[in-house]
Amino acid sequence: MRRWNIGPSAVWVERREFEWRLHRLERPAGDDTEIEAATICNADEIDPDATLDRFAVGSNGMNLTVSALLADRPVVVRPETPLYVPSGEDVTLYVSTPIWLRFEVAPPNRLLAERPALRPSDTWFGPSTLVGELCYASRTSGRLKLAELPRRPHRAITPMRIRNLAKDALLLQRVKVPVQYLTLYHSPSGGLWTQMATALREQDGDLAALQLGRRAPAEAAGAKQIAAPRQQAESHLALRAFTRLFGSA
Amino acid sequence: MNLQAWTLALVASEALGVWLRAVLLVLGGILLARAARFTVRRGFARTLSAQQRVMLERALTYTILTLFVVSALRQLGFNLGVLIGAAGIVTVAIGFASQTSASNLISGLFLTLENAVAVGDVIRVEGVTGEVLSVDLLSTKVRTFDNLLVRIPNETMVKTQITNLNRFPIRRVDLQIGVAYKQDLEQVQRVLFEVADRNPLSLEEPAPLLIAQGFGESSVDYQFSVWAKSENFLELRNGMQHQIKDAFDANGIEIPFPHRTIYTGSVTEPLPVRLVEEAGK
Repeated sequence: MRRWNIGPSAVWVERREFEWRLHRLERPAGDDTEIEAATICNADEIDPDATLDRFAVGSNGMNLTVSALLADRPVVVRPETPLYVPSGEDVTLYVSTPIWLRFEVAPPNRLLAERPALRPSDTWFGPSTLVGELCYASRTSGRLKLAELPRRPHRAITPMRIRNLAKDALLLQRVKVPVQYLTLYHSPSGGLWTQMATALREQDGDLAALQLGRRAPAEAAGAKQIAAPRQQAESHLALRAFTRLFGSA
Repeated sequence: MNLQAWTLALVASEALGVWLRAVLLVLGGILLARAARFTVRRGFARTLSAQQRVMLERALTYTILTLFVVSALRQLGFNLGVLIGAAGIVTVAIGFASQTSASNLISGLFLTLENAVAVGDVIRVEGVTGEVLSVDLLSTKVRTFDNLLVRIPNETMVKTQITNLNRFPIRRVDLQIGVAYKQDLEQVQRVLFEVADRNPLSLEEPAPLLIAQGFGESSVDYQFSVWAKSENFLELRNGMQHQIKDAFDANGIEIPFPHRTIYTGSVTEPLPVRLVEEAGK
């Protein structure tokens, strides 16, 4: 039996004959920075409050792979307090989003489960309750200075560059980070990163374009890719309604 | 072969030809109706809903079959004027006899065209809540959550108010909460918002809403509204009630039951009071 402690969540993986058991617990203290991978432990160490998922398997493959990947829906992040981005300005907001854990066994390759390291709250992102998209809400706010962003082992950092080409100032209350299109990198200096995402508010103010970087950001030089995007960004993704990226105008 | 036999054979062969043509017409009609149904099924798979497709298929099938059967009857020498006249009388008779069915039929048509309900929707009609299984010509079949089949006549569906519970992706859960008058209301508000914040199913945006409903007989009454993904509605409603009770208990907030102060009046005797000593004192 092995135990993983990733920030506030603990996972115990138990191998039985023709069966894998996944015990999972989210501790309420969401700011835990502990990280501990594949520690050998005994069955009596499993927290009684942990939830159990059982997976039946036909063969007795013994290799378990636990990998990190980004969330399956966009994550909505707020700055600490709403801020204005004046016309012509170009700013970078550092945001962190929760990671998911993927449990796979081999041989043969079988996906057991994907679970969030810490289940984020659901949120609705759109101009009204009729039109919009279901997203996750980030518990931490976006920061203009990277040093001020709390580092957590269960979160990946995305530099979100915002360029306001419109004639009026942009009030930034919330921004949607489309993590399902982003690649996850691991930096040699520690920490998880994604490439830079640039949100461009067009001159007429009603349209916004989203551009995704092709490699790890400069802040995480030498980072290695550890997970591909969940969805490939399509060409029509580039230009979209302003309200679909920044909420209401 | 004499002349009489030859004439009889000719008449027989002509009659056979007429019958053959009539049969061919009916068969052709059936084939054409099938082709029309196939075309509608394939061609309108995306543009029309399943209900509308079925309606269009049926309308086309019956029209084509009627036209071909009528042509076949003409081939056989039937006087259609008489048939139509008879059909008119029969229609009037049937019309009087089946007013309700006709009304349901027309209502079903409007219901389908309006696209008010679709198969799989969860609706509430006249106190019945359940999942729509089918919208048929005469009635709509609904499966309630205690697994009963309810047949609602289409006429009722058109006349009455239908509430569609899962048409939109998110829904609001309204919780009625009463707290004791002695409580610090700021603290109550803080505890409630913390509970919503901790529950991952409660949407962060639209933000939870606390509405003061007024001063009740025994409690200060609030409505606490939180939003959820429609599928999570019930889970959030149950989860929130438990979590609010736990949080109130942990913070010493009382959920009061009805209080009564008994006034005996100046002319009545005072209420008897009995002192009970604790054991050991």
